Amino acid sequence: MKNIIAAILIMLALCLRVVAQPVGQIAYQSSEDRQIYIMDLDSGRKTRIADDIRAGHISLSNDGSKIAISVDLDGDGNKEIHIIDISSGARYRLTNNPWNENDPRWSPDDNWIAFTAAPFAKVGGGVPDSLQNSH
Amino acid sequence: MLRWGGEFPIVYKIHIDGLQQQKVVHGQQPSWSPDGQWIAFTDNALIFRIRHSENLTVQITDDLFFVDMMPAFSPDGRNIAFVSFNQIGIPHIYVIDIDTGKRKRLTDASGDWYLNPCWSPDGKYIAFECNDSIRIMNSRGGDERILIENAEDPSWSPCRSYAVSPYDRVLATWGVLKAIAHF
Repeated sequence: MKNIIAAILIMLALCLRVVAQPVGQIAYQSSEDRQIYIMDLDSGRKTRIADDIRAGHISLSNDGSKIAISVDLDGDGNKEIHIIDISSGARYRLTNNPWNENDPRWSPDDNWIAFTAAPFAKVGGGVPDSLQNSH
Repeated sequence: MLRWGGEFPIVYKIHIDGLQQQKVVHGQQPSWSPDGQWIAFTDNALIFRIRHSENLTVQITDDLFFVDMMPAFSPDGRNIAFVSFNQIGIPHIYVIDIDTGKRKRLTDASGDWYLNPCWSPDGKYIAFECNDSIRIMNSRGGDERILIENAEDPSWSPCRSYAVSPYDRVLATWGVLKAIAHF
């Protein structure tokens, strides 16, 4: 009888632990191939999002449909914020100025992205008027 | 002509249509509050938050012996997880209660580098970088384990998640008991 009760208690503890596992999905950058992946925490499945982007500063949208990244696609050292649609793979450049942009972060409604503008040593320009005038 | 009107770095926000762009504050590493009203950021090795509609800035951390960075609002908006370098230059993950200012270190003193904290959507876990892996721990500290090897820069979304309610747990427990009884 004691063994049965102990077995039930162990099963109960295991059950509660399994149900309480973290859920959702995590986007990340592989340190091996520098590509972007998404891991579904429910299934453990990993999916590579793009084949040719070596990005940093990844931000997954709250609805899980898009990724914002900071990336230098031109190879000139100037990072811009790009948006990737996860299901289609389509991407577009969101920012375009002669300064590095890092740390993209989606707003809770996924309509805005906050980011850091940082110096870009190679360029002698500045933040575009469109940025400066919108203060 | 392009021109610059302030010191770097600066936090901006841009609408995803690419047409509306606004300067938020001098600083870096922004993190939105769950209600979208506040943005936490780093400036001069301290953590602040700004209510961007009113340009109201509030200092969050104030210990000048630490270097604080990488803030991340908790899903309930009450806490901020962040990285703090101690006096010997080792970064650990802390959580600070916004109302009380009480800070708590979540990671141990093993000498590992802990970076980029990121909350789970339900607030129960914090993912972070450590020794070329993404790990998670309980958001109150402890139960640290490796989630993904050879990975960095985690970003956690609730997509495809399901709410784990007490009712779910009762159902799961009941299912196990029924299986045992059948057996």
